[in-house]
Amino acid sequence: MFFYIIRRLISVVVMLLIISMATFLLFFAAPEDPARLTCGKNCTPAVIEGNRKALGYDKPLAVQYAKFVQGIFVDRKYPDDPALQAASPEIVTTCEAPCLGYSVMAHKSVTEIVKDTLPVSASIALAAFVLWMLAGVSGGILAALNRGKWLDRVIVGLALIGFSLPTFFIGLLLLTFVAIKMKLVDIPRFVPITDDPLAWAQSLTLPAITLAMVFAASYVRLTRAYMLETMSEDYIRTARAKGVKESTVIRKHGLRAALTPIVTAAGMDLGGLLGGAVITEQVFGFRGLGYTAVRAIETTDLPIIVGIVIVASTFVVVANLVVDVLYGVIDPRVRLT
Amino acid sequence: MSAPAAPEKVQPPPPDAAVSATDGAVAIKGRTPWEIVRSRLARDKITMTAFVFSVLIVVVAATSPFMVKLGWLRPDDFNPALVQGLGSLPEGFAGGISRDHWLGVEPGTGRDLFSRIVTGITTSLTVAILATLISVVLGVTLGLVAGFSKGRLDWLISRFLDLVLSFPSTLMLLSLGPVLVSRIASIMGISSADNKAKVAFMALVLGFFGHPFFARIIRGQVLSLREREFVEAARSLGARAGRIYFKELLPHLWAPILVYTTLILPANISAEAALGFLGVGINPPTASLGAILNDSVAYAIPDPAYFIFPGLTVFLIVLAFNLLGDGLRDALDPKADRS
Amino acid sequence: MMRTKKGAIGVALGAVVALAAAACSSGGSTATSSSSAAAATKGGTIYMVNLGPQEHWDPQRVYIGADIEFASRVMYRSLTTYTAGKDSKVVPDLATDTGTMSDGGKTWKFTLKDGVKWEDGQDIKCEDVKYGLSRTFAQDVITGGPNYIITFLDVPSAADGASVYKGPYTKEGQAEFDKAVTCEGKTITIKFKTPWTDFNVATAGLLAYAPYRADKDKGEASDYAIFSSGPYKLEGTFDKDKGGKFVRNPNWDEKTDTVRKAYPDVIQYDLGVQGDTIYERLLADSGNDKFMVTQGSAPPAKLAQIAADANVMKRTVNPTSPYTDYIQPNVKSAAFTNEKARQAFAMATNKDAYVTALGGTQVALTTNAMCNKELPCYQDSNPFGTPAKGDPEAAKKVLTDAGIATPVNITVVYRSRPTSDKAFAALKSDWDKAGFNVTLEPLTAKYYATIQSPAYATKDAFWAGWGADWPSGSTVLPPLFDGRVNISAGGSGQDYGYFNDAEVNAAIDKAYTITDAAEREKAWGAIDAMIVKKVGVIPLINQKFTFTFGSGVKNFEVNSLMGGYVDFANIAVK
Repeated sequence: MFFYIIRRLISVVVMLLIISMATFLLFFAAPEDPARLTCGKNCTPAVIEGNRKALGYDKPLAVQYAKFVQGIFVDRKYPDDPALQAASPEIVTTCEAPCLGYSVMAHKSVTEIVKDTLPVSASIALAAFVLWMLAGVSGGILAALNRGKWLDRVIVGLALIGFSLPTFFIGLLLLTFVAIKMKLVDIPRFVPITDDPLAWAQSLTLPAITLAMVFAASYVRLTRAYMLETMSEDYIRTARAKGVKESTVIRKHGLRAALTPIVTAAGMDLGGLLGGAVITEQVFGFRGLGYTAVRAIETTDLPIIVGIVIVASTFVVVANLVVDVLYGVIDPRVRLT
Repeated sequence: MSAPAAPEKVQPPPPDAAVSATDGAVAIKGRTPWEIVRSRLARDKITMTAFVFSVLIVVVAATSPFMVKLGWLRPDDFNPALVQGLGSLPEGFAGGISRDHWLGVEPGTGRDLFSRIVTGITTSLTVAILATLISVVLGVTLGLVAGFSKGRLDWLISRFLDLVLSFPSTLMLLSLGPVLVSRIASIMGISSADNKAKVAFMALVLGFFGHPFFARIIRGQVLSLREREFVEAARSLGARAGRIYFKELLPHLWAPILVYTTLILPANISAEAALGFLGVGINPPTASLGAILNDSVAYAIPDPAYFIFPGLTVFLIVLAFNLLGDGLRDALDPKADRS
Repeated sequence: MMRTKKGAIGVALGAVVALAAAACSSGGSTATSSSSAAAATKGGTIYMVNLGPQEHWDPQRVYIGADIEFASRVMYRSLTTYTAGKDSKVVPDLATDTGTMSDGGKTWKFTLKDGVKWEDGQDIKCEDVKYGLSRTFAQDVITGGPNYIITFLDVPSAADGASVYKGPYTKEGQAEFDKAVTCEGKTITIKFKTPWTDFNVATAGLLAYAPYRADKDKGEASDYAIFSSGPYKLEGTFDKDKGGKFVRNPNWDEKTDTVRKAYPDVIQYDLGVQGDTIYERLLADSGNDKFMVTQGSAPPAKLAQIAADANVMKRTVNPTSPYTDYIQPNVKSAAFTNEKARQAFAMATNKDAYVTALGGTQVALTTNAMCNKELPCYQDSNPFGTPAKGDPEAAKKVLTDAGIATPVNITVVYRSRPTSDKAFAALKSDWDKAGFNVTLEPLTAKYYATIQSPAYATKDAFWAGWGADWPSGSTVLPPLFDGRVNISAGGSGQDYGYFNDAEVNAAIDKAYTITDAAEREKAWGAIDAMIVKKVGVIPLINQKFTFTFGSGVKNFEVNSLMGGYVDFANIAVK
């Protein structure tokens, strides 16, 4: 177990290195000059050259990448050029470790931006997670236990409809009709949990339902399928034959085995969502990672794009690790070596 | 096998449970597997309806350019007289529904919404089908190679698939757009403003980020198949890897490939719509479901018909393909009991 | 080149124009609040909600009309300013009078009032005004703002045409600048190369001539670090994506200020809210949204909802904006080198369809001139006698008569917005009828920076928008169509279609020398018509704004001279 975790940790680090390298290459080796992208209209060659030096784009890509990785562990200073730092010390900004880069356009370090926006994405993700797990798993179990009956058909049918509705369409329907037309809730505006936990929960209602709807639908299908699979396994039959009560069979034997793959999938999904629910955030104007990334893409603010892509991928990779380890804990049949 | 569902991503994954490869082993009482599948499908009314509807959609999509030529569809005819309401809203019942305009007209221009939706289906389906083909070809190839080779190559491919799956695909699609579209346009020798470049870009990126799901499924299937006698036999007779892939393995994989193709296609249709919503899509005046939706969302209150019809269209198409995929899977699954 | 806030239409550049018709009402709306009769008192919080992100707050860099209007009222005082609301006129602000001109407009003198202070209590000195003027010269740091001072100030130019003065950071050529701008006690003297007879109007309309404290200057880093001289100061920091909070500046003395009433205690400036959401909140009018104003014009899809509610109409205005949307054909492109091809293109342009697609006559009105209809330089010109809906038949005939083979393949570039996508689809439809084969190229990001780059020099036509910086044709025509000041190896500057016509250039030079203001504006009008006739530009529309404000807002006014947005001078919530 211990060695397994160490080995997985190493592979996670390698994976993250490769991801960040690939992201770096994709964006900074593009034909467009990254320094040119840092300034807009009335851009003079002097500004471009200034920014190039300040951000270190004048150095080879490998050096830039090495500095980026170094920045994760030690503070970086911008401008990234000793001569410029000496010339005008008053303009030097420190990007504290873990430094994910600096955006000239936002006048902020990417780390600060991630710190600002991550709570929003995390709030939506967690609220949606709770909703979809409750609705999806219980729906799936109910459907499986009533296999072939009308309840099963209704649940499966609803799930299929939920699964076929595009996220933004659900979100906009809820926003326009529930919030704006019928005024059942306020137009959602994000409130940090530290300000007012109740208002926080309220502000998350619609975005979380939007996001949870699609996930709940696929978890109904997932849970149902696994439940049916386990319930037909031999050991369940044995348990029944031994005269164990049906409810105990379901709870103790069926559910436990069926839940394992669901936990895996849930962990992966949560990991993906922590990196930002682009469409939901966009629909409700919540400034999470996804929303911020879309804004950065509109202005081609490369440092922010690269930073958020790397952060989002990190969540997925780490979730993958956590899930694999959990798998071993939950399911006694799995042995991690 | 659990395919992580991530519907927030522009590229939703194919849904859940696995499809087992079918081969001669399931045949009972002398019926060929194909006969079993066919009889199962014929009894499944929902799937048959979905199948007919899906075929209809594909036919409509394929023929819409001719219908435009014949003047049956008029997606580019402007009727300013029909949109004289405040803010250039259509006048009349439900977004200006009339004998000439079955679903009403577009606010601001008075273009016929039915024609726009039908030609939009053509564009969106083109993107979705191309993307699906790319996913299938890439995914099946990698899955076959990984599953059959085992060992180091398998490990390498599997890690590559993990890597692709780690990237936030929506963000990648949005951010790589400008650069890749002009790259693709210059390779194709057309202007970057040409919609062919945009279609190619969307198909490529959607296809690329969709292929790992395929690859994983195929790999799993191959891993179980490769231990079977007929592969063993081919190998011991000295057949080359290429021959084993295509002559021995591929014929046994058509079922999962077919099912997942049917399931990933609707995912790609919603992905195109979502991209339109995020503002990266086909250039005007060409219609696509995504572009229509992107415009229509602002009118949800003042002109609900204009908001509901395109959304409903996407929903119905996606639903039909999903039902078809589900039905196919059930029919092809030897374990499914039909009570 | 002041730009509008990104509203639903999100078009046009522009700024200060005398708009007598600002109160022009449509559907019963007026330019002032119905509740303006009620006596306003100090107190309360007003909410300013916009989409953002904030481009600049540095007074020498801020160039979006709405931002200038807000900053002029809230935190930056200039030598002169405009009075509030309609029938606005130029009055002294930091200076004791509106300045004294001598030497035919080549020398200006302003004396600062006593008791005007920065937010830290220090006096605003002549040197601060001088320092402010110097900053624009640092073109590598102070980017994005108006550059007129570099053209006009009596500082020699080097061989390459650039000023020898490089700004206060490098101090290169500082001696030359010190000769042109001098301080004696509280009196500043500014010398120009060529007459600038309405400089005291420019000081009211732009903030580029506002004072700046040298010790607070951190160049790029102080862009959003607002150091106030007005009635409010920033509390905490300003986030360009989220906004900031403005509170009373205790060192602002209302006795020194005749214009700003500063009724609210707090101005909460929120950014990052989409136009649709802003108007949903304004329509709902609940909670703090009762005290909300915006600089974003209502999305066309919302107009019917606004009009449907009489109570909302009471708090809605529909003023004409100072901006002009236009299309500039690229005279260097293969298709449009030929003037006849451009003429056919202009004649086939369906401006009516463009207006309809934008949302109708409450959103835009067609025009034939670059000068806005309210400017003294406005002259209607319709050289080819085409109706506003265009005439594709006649246009086709022009092409055939000129022996141009059809279809003429062209690419038209524009900034993508939902309404503009439809507007250009409509234009394309008629252009195609005339014998063109139009490919539309919508750009989503970095619009102007992209179209002025050399990579786009082969495209055939560009959409753009513009508004005057102050009420003179000199802030419309030379900045856009004088190829000599725009075109360089680095691209087209603001002359996106590479228009560089000897006759027009000569007329521009001549217009500058006319001393009589009315005659000069007439000359600009003639140049406007000349460029339209040569099809250097196809003017499309003048925008109209629709603003709704919360029911708790008193004294809501739009300032016709300052871009046509909400004026914070008299606004109140109590």
